[in-house]
Amino acid sequence: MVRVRRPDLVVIGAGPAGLGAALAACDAGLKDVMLIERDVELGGILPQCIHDGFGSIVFGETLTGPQYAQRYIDRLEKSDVEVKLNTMVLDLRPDRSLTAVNSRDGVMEIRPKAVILAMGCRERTRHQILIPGYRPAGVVCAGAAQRDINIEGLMPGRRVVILGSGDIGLIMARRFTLEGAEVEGVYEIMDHPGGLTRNLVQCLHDYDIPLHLSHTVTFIHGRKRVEAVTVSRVDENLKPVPGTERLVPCDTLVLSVGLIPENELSKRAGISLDPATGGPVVDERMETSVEGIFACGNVMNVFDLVDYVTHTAETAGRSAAEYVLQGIRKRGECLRVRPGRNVKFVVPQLLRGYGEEAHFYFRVSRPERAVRARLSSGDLLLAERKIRMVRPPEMVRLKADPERLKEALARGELDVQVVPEEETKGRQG
Amino acid sequence: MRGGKPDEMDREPIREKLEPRLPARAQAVVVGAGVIGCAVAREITRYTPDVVVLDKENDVACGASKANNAEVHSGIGEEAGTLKQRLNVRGNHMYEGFVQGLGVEFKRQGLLIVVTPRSVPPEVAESMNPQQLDELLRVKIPEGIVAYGEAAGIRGLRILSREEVLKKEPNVTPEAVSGVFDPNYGLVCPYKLTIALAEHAVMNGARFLLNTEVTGFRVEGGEVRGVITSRGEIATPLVINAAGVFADEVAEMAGAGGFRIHPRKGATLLFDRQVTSEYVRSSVALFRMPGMKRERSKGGGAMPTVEGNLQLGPTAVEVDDKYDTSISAEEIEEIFERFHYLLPDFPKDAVISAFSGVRAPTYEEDFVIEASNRVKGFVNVAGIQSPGLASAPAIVEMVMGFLHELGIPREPRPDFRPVRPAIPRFAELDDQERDALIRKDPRWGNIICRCEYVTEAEVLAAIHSLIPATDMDGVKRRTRTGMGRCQGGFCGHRVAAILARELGRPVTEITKSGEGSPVYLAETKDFLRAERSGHGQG
Amino acid sequence: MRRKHAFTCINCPLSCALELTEEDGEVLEVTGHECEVGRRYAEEEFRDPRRTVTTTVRVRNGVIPQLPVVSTRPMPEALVREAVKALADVEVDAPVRDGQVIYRDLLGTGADIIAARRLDPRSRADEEG
Repeated sequence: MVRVRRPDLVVIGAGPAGLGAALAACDAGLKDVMLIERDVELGGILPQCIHDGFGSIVFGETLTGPQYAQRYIDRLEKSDVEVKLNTMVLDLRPDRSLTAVNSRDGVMEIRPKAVILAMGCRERTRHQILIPGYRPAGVVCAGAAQRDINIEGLMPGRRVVILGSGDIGLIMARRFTLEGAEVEGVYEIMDHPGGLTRNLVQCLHDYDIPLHLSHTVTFIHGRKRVEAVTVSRVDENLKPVPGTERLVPCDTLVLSVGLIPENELSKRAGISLDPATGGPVVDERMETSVEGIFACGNVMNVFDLVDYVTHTAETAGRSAAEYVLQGIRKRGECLRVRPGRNVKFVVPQLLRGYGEEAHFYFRVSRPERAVRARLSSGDLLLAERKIRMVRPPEMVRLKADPERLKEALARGELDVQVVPEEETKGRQG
Repeated sequence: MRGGKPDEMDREPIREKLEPRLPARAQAVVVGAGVIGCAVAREITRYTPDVVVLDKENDVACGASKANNAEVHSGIGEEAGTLKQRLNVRGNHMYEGFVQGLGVEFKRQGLLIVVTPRSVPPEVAESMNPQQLDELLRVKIPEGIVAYGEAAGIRGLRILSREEVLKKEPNVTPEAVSGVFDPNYGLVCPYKLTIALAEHAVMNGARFLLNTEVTGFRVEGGEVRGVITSRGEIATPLVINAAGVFADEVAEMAGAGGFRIHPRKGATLLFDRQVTSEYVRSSVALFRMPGMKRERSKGGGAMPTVEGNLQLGPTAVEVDDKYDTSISAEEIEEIFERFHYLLPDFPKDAVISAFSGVRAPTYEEDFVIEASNRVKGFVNVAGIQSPGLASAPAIVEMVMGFLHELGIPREPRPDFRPVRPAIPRFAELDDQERDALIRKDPRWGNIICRCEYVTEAEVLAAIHSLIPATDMDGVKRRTRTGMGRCQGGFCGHRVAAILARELGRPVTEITKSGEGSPVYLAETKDFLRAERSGHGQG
Repeated sequence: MRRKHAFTCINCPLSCALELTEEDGEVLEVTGHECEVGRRYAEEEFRDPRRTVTTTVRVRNGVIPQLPVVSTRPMPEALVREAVKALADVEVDAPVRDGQVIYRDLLGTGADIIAARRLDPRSRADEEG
């Protein structure tokens, strides 16, 4: 018989988002919290991110991924959170009920009072970018390779070409090199690197690994195992330029070509998604379009810093706890936050004005020097930050206080924009 | 969690199944374990269990049978009067009976042939006044299609108006003027069908020798006496050559040739079924006036798979290499261009996979199904390209005609086992059924592939099946591990670990698709340790 | 002898292209920086670049076969590869405590290598499962 469980809250996913959310919900007074994780242990991808650089905002020190996770795992073990490892959520419905399965409990029908989505993201594969060629062994995504090497103890390659200069690609270039593999080069289709400068310096430059900008892989050779790839230069429309092909012998192609928020369950539950982020539309409490279902971390959009993931998780956890403890309440009218000049998207997308301070995270569309990031409602300035340089890989966070948010709600508009420093000076003068 | 393996899973040690001894003799030997070879072998076992199937690959369905569009055509696209058309029409009618008892899903989704202004060459369109053109597209072409099909024995064809076309398939181009619906088109997973046929044959006594390459034949006095393989010789009076793209080379070895296969590859794009399920409900193809067809493929189309993934393709490119299963940038572009017209807003971003198969046409473009008149006991089943899957039942029927003449008993065996038990698929069960299975064996509750909801129990069943899966692709074809949107990012190492455990090999010896395709090259630290010891020696 | 060295500042998204001029090891000039942090960074990278070492070591009978480890302080950049190589032969037994010292004073740098997580032994259930 399928068992029916009725916890207060179910958190789906036990990476940094799920861990943070479950703990925050407990701290806010929820007694019956269930944390569901499909992997064999807690932490999500943090245990495989063995490099350092995590936690400077949350802990004021830099930690490795496993260390960051360990701090939450230690706290979780002292809490009353019920952890279900090796457990897969098969379905989530608009009434918040879900179906999960594992070897021990069998199929569980779970009817919680609230749900937090913390499923994180997944990697884009070779077919999503349609690389021509054969389909041999030896084409792997960077995150999967990271797990193989750092957790499973297996080397997926010895002579490696990396496509994509996002941070995971750069970090894996260093990791492969340190483990005695040979990285032939990193190829990036754009004319600028995708990752942080810190990683360019410490992962590529330190190890003399070449970075080829405006290049892409145009053919994968090898019927059984990768034998080589053809790389080509691309033009300004990112199309390969005929005649620039070069054959690069290798046994492995590592792809670092983007991450996609994992929202298959969100779709099943009928949650509205934002095409700009690929994640659910949420309000400042991280509540989605379906009442009682909250979202946090990379399921919303792919964050650059785990610290931000933790922040959104804590907001979601606290809000879900309050939702459960206060019983059914009517959600207020909401205001759509508008992405303005040089703003690609903003999360949360909606403001309801709960009388709490709120954080807004956004990504710019293009690099720009000497700017101010502003959150404003007409002539009312809610938040502003002077920034020397903004770049698409790095998210910007703005904080607004409850009073001004209330006012913005009354005015019926809220905009996030990036304006050049000169312009603001001019206007103020 | 301790407990033996489920009883249906391991009746014999896996080693034995992986490397069976070469039998000294057999009543018949089938060369090639694709869909045709396996179907012929299964049919032979209805009369005698003494049949051997040889294949040089490590699994069945490693050629065109694993890389086609899963369509069971009706014959409407074939040239009138060809053997191909005759066998296709008949094969299509026979399909329900063909798959009965195999535990393989077959459904008739139908084909919608769409007629638009692009169905006729521009010069033809320009030479007509609008009324004439409308008459041609709205009336004459559809009527012509129906008449053509009916002459070939295809029943149930229906002419649709523009409105009916768009109602049936709302995603089709609004330029549609009319259409013809052919309800006979069906879908069957070609490699699952092949595996099922092979297992059904094994259940009834057939022996499959994989990793076994045919190197020659013993022919004496114009009669087949035996097959020489990379692993030794089997005495037999009867050989069925179902070697796909290699059928010409195999026939030559026996002196029973006389046809040439020229490989022609076809590439297909496959989409995420969560996005595309129901995107097209039937197969959809744009009608093109004869002479407008691209190359010599049947034009291709958009079709769902049995599982609900949208497929677009295939292309048709002549190649030199029979192993050329690559996809070129030009092919990808061609597919996008073509289907952008037929399905203007198809979900480009939801591509999850692209695959390519090599067709095996002869220069005559027809099937070559014959009992060799030069070598007695040698039967060629060659030139089988699309619609080979659809024609398979009729091909088998025709081949059996020869085989009965050549000595296979005509009397069916009373002990033939008609049903091949299929492993249930967790993804397709309801929650009560799932729960019941987990209570019996907890491994039904361990999800290995998170996109397709494949459990450890299913992976084990694939590895311990009658035709064991011994590599990643073998498990994938049987269970769908790694076939979802993450393409194995989550389950890859999990499947590799299970294969290693069950086959008793280190994970570093697990391959993607047979020898030479290791998934992992070493354990972490191996390279560094080797370097250090290397320094010591140097 | 007077020489120039190029660095890219990693301290903020500006990523200033720094150029340091030195003569026989003595820094004469740094150019290209927008702030003091950049100048200091160039000097550090020239005089004594340091990196935190992170890698894994093999673990016996653990829930997973690799243990992530980290140096307790940054080590000279030039020694990182050697450090990782030196750790390639190290194997530890589960259980491992978070922060447990795996290797003391690696390559005489004064930096210890410690476990970056707790790693439990594989349970019987895991083996049987």
